[in-house]
Amino acid sequence: MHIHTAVGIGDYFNLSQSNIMNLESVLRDPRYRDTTFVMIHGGYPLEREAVWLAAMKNVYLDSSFGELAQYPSAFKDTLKMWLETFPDKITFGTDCFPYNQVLGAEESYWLGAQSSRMALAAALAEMISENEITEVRALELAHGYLHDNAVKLYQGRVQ
Amino acid sequence: MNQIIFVAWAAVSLFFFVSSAGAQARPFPGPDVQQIYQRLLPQIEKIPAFDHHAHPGFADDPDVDAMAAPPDASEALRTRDDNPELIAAAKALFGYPYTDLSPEHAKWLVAKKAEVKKENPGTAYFNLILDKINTESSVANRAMMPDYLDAKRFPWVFFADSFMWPFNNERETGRNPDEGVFIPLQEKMLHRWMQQESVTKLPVKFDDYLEFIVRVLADNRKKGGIAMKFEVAYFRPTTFSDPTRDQAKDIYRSTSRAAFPARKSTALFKITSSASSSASEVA
Repeated sequence: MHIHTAVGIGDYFNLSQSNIMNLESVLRDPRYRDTTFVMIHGGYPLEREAVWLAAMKNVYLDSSFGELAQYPSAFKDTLKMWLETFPDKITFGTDCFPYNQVLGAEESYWLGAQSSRMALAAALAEMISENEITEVRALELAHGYLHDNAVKLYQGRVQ
Repeated sequence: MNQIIFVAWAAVSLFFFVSSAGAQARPFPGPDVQQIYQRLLPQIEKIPAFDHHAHPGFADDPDVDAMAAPPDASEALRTRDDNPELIAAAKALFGYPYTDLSPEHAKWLVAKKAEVKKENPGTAYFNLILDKINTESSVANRAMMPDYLDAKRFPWVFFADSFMWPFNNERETGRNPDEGVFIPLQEKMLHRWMQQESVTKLPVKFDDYLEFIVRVLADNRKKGGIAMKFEVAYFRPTTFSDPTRDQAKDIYRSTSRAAFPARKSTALFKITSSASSSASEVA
């Protein structure tokens, strides 16, 4: 089950009432132990709190929109914090959308993918430089975030 | 001699310092961080991605999302369509030769895309876009799937919020201009699920309504749906109480024709969540 967890479009979107942490009681409900929850947009702008929800076995965080709402220099910090916490519970997404008849989902896809890859490289470079991980481990984490973590989620139902 | 011993000692110390550098993390990146970045980026660009959340489609396709942006909604700086980075995207994808998007230059881009579409008919066009950005597959979070997206590369995530709105929603629709756009779209989506299941009228009994939801979820799964998505925060607070099934029945019975009281969507969020496991079993 995917749940939108971020600021939303429109000027009446109620930020305080849509706080991702409000969902904790649902996520921790033992009746949903066998349901996999993916927090789409990773709770943005509360991504620091949100990552600890991924401590639950059946909860994952999706980073889409964060890479569009923020420039890579800021999104790098989000990714770094997530990679340092639950790197196997995070997924990459672009949240691409057709803007208008001229600029479509195509450009949006490109921007999301480019921004994420740049921010990911920057986050991992800092982690290597700060002696947190080796370069080999960094590339394993990159594969996980960009591809493997999401594919594992769907157990053979996606390629 | 002393000098030789000192040099040897220094060399050994340096060796141990370097070889144990990975053991203790430090609070700041070193001067090597840019070099590491330059080394990593090309390797990361070569990793085929799985895009876990996207809304692919053409701008004139109403099924790209179950929602729509309300008119005059504020946009953050980078998500505005005048973001110059989008010109860089057009250059990278289509060889766009200009540095602005003036109406005259924009015509070039529209014509170029039409040309590429013609050369890559059907599902080939968006497959080509994925290839260009080194994305193996991309989730398509859409109202419905179109015939121009390849189901093998664009697994479907459908929307489930409409199940929370089987009532007279006038009061919620009138709450603010945004809900005036959002809620009618949910009513429309629910109607489409009814059409899918050949249901002309919503069931009077709660149990039958639940059975209808289970059927929709199971059929969507058979059609390739890999997950369902809630955007519940657009409609109501994300705090949920825990009504019993009997309370849910009462809510359904008492509000099916009356104005929908705020926050009673809790019951329908919870039952749709529960229905997802029933749907998995059915599918």
